[in-house]
Amino acid sequence: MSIREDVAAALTQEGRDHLRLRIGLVCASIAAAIVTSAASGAARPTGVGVLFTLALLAALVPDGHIPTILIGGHLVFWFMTVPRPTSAAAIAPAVVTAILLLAVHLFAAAATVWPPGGRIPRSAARRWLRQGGAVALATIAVGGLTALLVAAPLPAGTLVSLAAVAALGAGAIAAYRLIAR
Amino acid sequence: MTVAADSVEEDGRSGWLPTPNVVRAVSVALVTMSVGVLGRRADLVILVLPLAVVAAWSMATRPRHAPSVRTTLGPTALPEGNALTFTAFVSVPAGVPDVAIVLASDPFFDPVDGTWTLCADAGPDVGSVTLAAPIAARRWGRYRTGAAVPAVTGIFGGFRHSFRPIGETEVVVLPGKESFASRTGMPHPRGIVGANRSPRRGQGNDFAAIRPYGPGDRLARVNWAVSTRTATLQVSEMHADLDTAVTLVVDAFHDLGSTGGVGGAASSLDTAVRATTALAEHYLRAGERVGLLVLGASDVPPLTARSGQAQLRRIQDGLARIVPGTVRGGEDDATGALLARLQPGGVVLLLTPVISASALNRAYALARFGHTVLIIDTLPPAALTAGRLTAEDLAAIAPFTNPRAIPTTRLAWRIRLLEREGQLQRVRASGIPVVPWRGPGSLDEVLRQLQRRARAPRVARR
Repeated sequence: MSIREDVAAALTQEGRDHLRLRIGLVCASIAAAIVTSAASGAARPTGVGVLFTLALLAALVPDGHIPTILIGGHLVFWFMTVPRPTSAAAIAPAVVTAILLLAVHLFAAAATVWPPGGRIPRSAARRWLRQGGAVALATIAVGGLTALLVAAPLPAGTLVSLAAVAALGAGAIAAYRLIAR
Repeated sequence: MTVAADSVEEDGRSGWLPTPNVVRAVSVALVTMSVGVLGRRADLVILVLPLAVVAAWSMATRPRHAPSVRTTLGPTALPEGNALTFTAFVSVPAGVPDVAIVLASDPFFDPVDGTWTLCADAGPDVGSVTLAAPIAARRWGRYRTGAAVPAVTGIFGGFRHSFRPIGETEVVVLPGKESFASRTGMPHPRGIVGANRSPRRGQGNDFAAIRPYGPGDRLARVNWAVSTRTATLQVSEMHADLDTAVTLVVDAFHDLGSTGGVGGAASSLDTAVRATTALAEHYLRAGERVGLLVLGASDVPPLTARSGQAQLRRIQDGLARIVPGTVRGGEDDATGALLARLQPGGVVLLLTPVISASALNRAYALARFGHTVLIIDTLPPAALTAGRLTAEDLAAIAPFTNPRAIPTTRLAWRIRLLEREGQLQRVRASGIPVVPWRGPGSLDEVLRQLQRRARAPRVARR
């Protein structure tokens, strides 16, 4: 068999629905990288290229650690290139990227839930879309609230920061206990 | 319907394990939020907020009870080309929306829906899900199939319950039959009642002669037209109708040629098995007694010649057991022991690719001992042209591992074909007819010739 036939056979075995999930993962990742690059105010071909490669790897092996590395890569790319938001409008790219990263995560998760070759039930696809949409709406709402806060900044307070750090610590412990149970 | 069940019932949450999805969402969200809070980067917190929500949602809806699964696979005996159904009944607790089952693929089974993976959406409130997959059996034989791995997953794929793999079930795929019909009777009827014209006269249907009425003649046999004309009572004399013991001998020492199941390429053994089924069905329907001997396969018991439709099922079951080349000991010993069971005076139809010298030698011996032997050549026609065989076809005839061996293998097969042609000529010269299997009417001409030869006077050994 030629390479083309091998690839065609592999794609056939994966199934059309699984292929869509993987293509969706790559597209969402590329879109997130482009939005980040745009938010940074300069073209970042190296970063986008690295993230594109990682996205391809994640699409090939969605059930390993590569999707985690991909999302981590996106976050590092954002942290390194995008300046701290100083206006309400600067929050919008963060919200869009957050939704795209959510899409990357959900596409990778769905690819591990539904085995290759199978047909994903339409009702299940609609449920995933509905639940993912709810999370995206919540993100938009929080993003809007954050934009308002950025536009009218509250005075910085040590107590608030400590409370936030304590809440995160408690959340981490609770999550660890829930997962390890 | 045979039930291959594997049920797992577990209390508590021990069976539910977090997937990499929830671990990713939790770890990325916590680390990034910490960095965002400490570095006063609200944008970072927003970036991972959806992952935090997904992680919290997954953990809040973590299933509390273990699911269970029960599967059935049936029917466990079916003709090739027909479909059996794998059915899984999955009971899921609330919060387990996604159910998937992956069946182990098998080269001679095809899922009718085109996939070995079954997926279902249990929804938020549904307590049980039934998944069914019709699977078509493509080739005769005995198989162990139906192994499957079920998995159920919580919301957003956060937690998964994996079951023990479901075991295999033995399935018997009975050989289908190639179409066969013959209008010719059998050459040596030796039974008591049947459909073939006997050499002697008796109470049959086939007209023999008109003779004067004698004591013991039935009045129904009086030929009134001739009696009126001759003024003496005349009766129509008939040939007796007798049956024949037909023994179908399948040469399973070798299986030559590639096999593609029903509708695909047929190997020599595929042709032999399907032709045997067709011949058995035809002759059993015609009232003959049919037996089966399989040479070269160890697990197929010989079937003595019997009549009736139950015998067809026995023959099909025996044929489905054939695994070629599994005979213990030497070919000659195994063949001799089996053929010694043949009832004298019967008709022996030997289905062979004419590759095993042992089978041919025994055909000579049987003919010498007075059996009517007919050799049916089952070698695939494509295999007869060594020069045109593709590498795959050649490998199906004479397996090789190194592609460099293709020319040598092709040459060897050509030489073997020449030897085979010589053997066939010697067989024909000794009075044993050889016909290639071509479906309906394959045997008519040669059986007619054998009938004529049987009626002719001949020298017998005393």
